[in-house]
Amino acid sequence: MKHTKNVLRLWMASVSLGGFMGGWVLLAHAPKPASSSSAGSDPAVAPMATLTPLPPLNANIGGSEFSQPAPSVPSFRSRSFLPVMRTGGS
Amino acid sequence: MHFDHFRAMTTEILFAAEGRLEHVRLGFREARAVIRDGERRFTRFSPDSELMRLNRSSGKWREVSQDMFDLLLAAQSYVAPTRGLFNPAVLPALAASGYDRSIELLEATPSTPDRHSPSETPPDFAEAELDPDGRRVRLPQGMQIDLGGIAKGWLAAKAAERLAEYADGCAVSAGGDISVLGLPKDADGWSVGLEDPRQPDRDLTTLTLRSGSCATSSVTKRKWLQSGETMHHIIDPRTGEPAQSPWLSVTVLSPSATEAEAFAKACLIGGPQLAPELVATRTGMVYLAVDGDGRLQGSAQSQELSHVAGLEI
Repeated sequence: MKHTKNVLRLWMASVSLGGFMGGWVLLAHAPKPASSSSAGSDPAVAPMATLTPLPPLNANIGGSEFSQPAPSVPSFRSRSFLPVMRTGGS
Repeated sequence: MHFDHFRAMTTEILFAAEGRLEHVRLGFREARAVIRDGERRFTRFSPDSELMRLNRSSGKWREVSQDMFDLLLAAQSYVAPTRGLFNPAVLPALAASGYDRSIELLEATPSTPDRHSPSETPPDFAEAELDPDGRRVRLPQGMQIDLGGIAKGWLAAKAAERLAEYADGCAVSAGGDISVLGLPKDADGWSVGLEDPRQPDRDLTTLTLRSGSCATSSVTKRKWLQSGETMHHIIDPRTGEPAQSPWLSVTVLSPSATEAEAFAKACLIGGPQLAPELVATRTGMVYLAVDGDGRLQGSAQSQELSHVAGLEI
């Protein structure tokens, strides 16, 4: 019984050490993450997707009624919040 | 805040209102009816509209609706102050330049090169006779009028008045002709993006409209090809041809929606030589022009604009 336990301990230790060493080797040889400065020159690195701006509130087609919270307007006037309406001729 | 939007008058209509939703919904319905009714009455693209019936009766007295009479009266009152640069009697010139059907149809099927004859200088709309007692109008023989722009401003103001009966504060935009009544919740005005005429998906700046109206005229909207040449819908009454302006667009803020529309058009046609003089004669009016490089000009430099319109650049 005692002999079986020792064999089992030795086997577990060997498997753990082997797994650790294998992982170490894999990570050491894996390609490094590309830095932001090299993204444009490395063709293997996909460019970051460009987000399209949200459509203006009055640009929706089809016509519908909807509600939304009021734009967050600070107590002072600011240009940072979304305009409620737009003017540009028609 | 609650919103409602739809298409009418070949443009986008947008309502914004504060208040209880069940009340505001009723207001949206009523305001839509105002727009729809006005569209039927003032369009030049339906032979049965009141406007086209009036045009067909030029040379004779014709009784008109109260709405038509009020709008014509307002339109005529701006002819002299704009030195004739605002003149609704440009319909034959518009048609001669190729704009003889709705802009959707025109963009789909451009005019053929020989279809139209050269335009003539439009007659003076001040010569139209308006009889308030009989609510009658007599256009001089041959005069044909187009109320497209000023009707949008007038209807935006009318719809805002109706919507305000059901809302704590509201704004109505008819293709960028905007009228506001009351204020948004927790804000000191309605934020209005000033569209870049060179790049319509971005704004050059944001205006804060606290009361009254604003309107924009632009040579970059409603364009079409005619004999290989790009035309637009802003007709210079002095020549009968699409206006040659160094500006791409002019936005006018005014207590009155029809006044804003009429002067936006006049300032765009008049350009930097005439616009400052035209606007200087009006109370509470400011203007903002955008040139070909996207530079803002006009009242923007004055303290008055910041005070009256809350403009920030």
